[in-house]
Amino acid sequence: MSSQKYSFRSFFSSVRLTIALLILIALMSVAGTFIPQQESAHEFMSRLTPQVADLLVWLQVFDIFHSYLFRVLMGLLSLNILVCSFNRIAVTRKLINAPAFPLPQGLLEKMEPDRIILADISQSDARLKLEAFLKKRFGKIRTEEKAGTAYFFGERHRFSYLGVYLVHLSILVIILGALVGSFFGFEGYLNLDEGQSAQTVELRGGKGSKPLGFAVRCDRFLVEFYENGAPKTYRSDLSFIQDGRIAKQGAILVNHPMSFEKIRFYQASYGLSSQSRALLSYTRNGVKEKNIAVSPGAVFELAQSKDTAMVLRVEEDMMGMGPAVKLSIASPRGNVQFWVFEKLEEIKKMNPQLLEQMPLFNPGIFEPYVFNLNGMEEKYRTGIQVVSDPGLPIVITGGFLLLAGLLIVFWLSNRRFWIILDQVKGKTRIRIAGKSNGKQWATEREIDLLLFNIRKEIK
Amino acid sequence: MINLEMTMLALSLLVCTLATAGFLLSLLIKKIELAKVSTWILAIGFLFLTLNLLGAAIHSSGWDNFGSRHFLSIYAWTISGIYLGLQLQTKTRLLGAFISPFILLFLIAAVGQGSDKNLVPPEWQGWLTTFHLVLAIAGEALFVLASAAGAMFMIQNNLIKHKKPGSLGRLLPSLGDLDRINHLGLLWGFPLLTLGMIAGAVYAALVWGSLWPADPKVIWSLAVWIVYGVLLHQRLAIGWKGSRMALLSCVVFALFILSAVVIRFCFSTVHNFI
Repeated sequence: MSSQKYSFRSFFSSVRLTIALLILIALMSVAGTFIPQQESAHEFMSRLTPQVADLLVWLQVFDIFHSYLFRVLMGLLSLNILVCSFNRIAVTRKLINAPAFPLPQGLLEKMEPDRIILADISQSDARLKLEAFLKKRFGKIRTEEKAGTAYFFGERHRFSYLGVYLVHLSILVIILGALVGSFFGFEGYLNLDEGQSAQTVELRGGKGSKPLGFAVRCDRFLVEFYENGAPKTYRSDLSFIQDGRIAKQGAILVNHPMSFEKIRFYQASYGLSSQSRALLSYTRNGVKEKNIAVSPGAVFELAQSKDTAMVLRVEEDMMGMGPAVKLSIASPRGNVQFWVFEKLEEIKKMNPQLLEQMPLFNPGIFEPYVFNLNGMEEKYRTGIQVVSDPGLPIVITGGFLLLAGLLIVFWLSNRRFWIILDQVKGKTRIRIAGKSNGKQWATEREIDLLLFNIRKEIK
Repeated sequence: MINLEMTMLALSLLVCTLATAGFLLSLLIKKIELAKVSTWILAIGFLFLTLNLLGAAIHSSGWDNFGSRHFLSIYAWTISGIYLGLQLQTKTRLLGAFISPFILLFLIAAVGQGSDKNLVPPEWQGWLTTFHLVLAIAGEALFVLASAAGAMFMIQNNLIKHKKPGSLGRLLPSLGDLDRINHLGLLWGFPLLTLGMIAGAVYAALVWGSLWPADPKVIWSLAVWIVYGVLLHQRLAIGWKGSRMALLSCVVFALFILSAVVIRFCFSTVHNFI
């Protein structure tokens, strides 16, 4: 039993496991950039045979970052880090509580001659000066006296040993934050016309919808264009309605989201509303009959006949040829469908044979009527991305903890110094030795500095 | 103002070409004096580059309006700055022969016509984006340095092992210095890159509504960051050093280059530099 327990612990405390896990996580993440994920996978899946597609979906290949395998790897990594940290506690305690005296073996024996100061002042005088100087330098020092020799001990950054734990903790915090986000957070979309409100959002990846617990209303949507027709800015004025009252109002723009009840709303896109209306007119035998404004699905009766026209589509930009409306006219003569372009004259200039080649583009195909599209009464709907990620603050905190931990581990090391004061051949002798758990060269430099300053002090 | 910036950039390119030629020649004719002179020439180039970047900073649209020219010249500036800084502490003049070609490449690309375009879309410009970019570039530049030192370490180690110290061996910096540069490069590069990535993540969270935008560059960088983290962990916690460390940092650097190439040619990304 105990050997089994031991092997369990040694398995989870091995650095090889850490490396294997990290490399697997890195590989899976990179694979996620090659395989289309979530919504973008639909098109790819449609090209596969259903069996293969089902298998890949079952393997969660199209949602790697939310897959069980990814979560299991994260869990194993957490366990690995926990066990490693736990195993280290005893060693760390020993390091932190390492006694100042007696001096570590071999430290005095291999001392170089340039680490020794010989001075002509008395030992007691030197001791006073030395003690004052070291106290100023290290804050707290420890002293010991044995057989006429005085030992002083000072150290720096003893708690730097805890930096490792901070790094390990921060990684656990980041993993925790990511898990909290993936279990309790959601990401969805809202498409709102002006004046329309919604209480639920469509979840990303076709995972159904989610009630918000309040209503969002788009009061106004504005879009500005550059001269070349590209959108310059767009914004939505939103009202958040809770218990029948407006609880918050404000505008969202690209890069200027708003949050309400810990849910963030981002201006993501915009599109033509289904309420957009096309301004149509038509002539009968060359005589102007009527102006009408229609939206998709609208049905109207043609003047001086019983025939009815239905608006199938209203397009802001049909195949790059500008605004167009698709009509379907039902009459005893049969059913006719055709497009009405606003810029028909321009299109005809570019392609004079157009109407012969494409009767579908002829607005006068249902004789004796000729239709005209005079413009669009454009109405937009706003596309809002809705995100709730309760893990976000946890991950950000973890990131900063990681940084703090790294700085401690990299730049602080426990440096321990011993200064020994005694007398040889009628002279006062001061020797300095040092030891550190990190960069030895920095310790050596500090010893040199100490030597320089002590020489100055006792002069 | 823009003309002055461009003049400075062109001058630094000229001077760095000279320095690179000097470094390579000193490797060829095996004279350390030439490398010493080249170091000074590089210092002049660094000065011009600094003036260029200062000019861009003063120039109103310079910094927020981050283009690939800035991207590339900050890369060059960081690498040469670190190399020159190291010269104050260690005598590793010949490291310049390995570093300066990188600097030169970045400068050539920066001066090129194609790099005039503005890469950060207007709605993303801001101090956080600049902060993110500069830190990430600095971190990556330090990894370049660490790996260059690793490559030199392997050459020098090989020469010593096969008892062919010869004049090249005497020319190359000592193994201890190279190992230390590798260590310092990782030690500084990693926290800088980490902070840069945190800044990017905070920005993405604020603006895009997702901490992990499914951007290929972000994911690849995270993967490379993890591998560098492993390397550093082995160095600090397990005590790997010397030739094993040198070899591994070259391998990881190859991965790093691979990621840059893959992202450049295989994906569309919001990080569309160069």
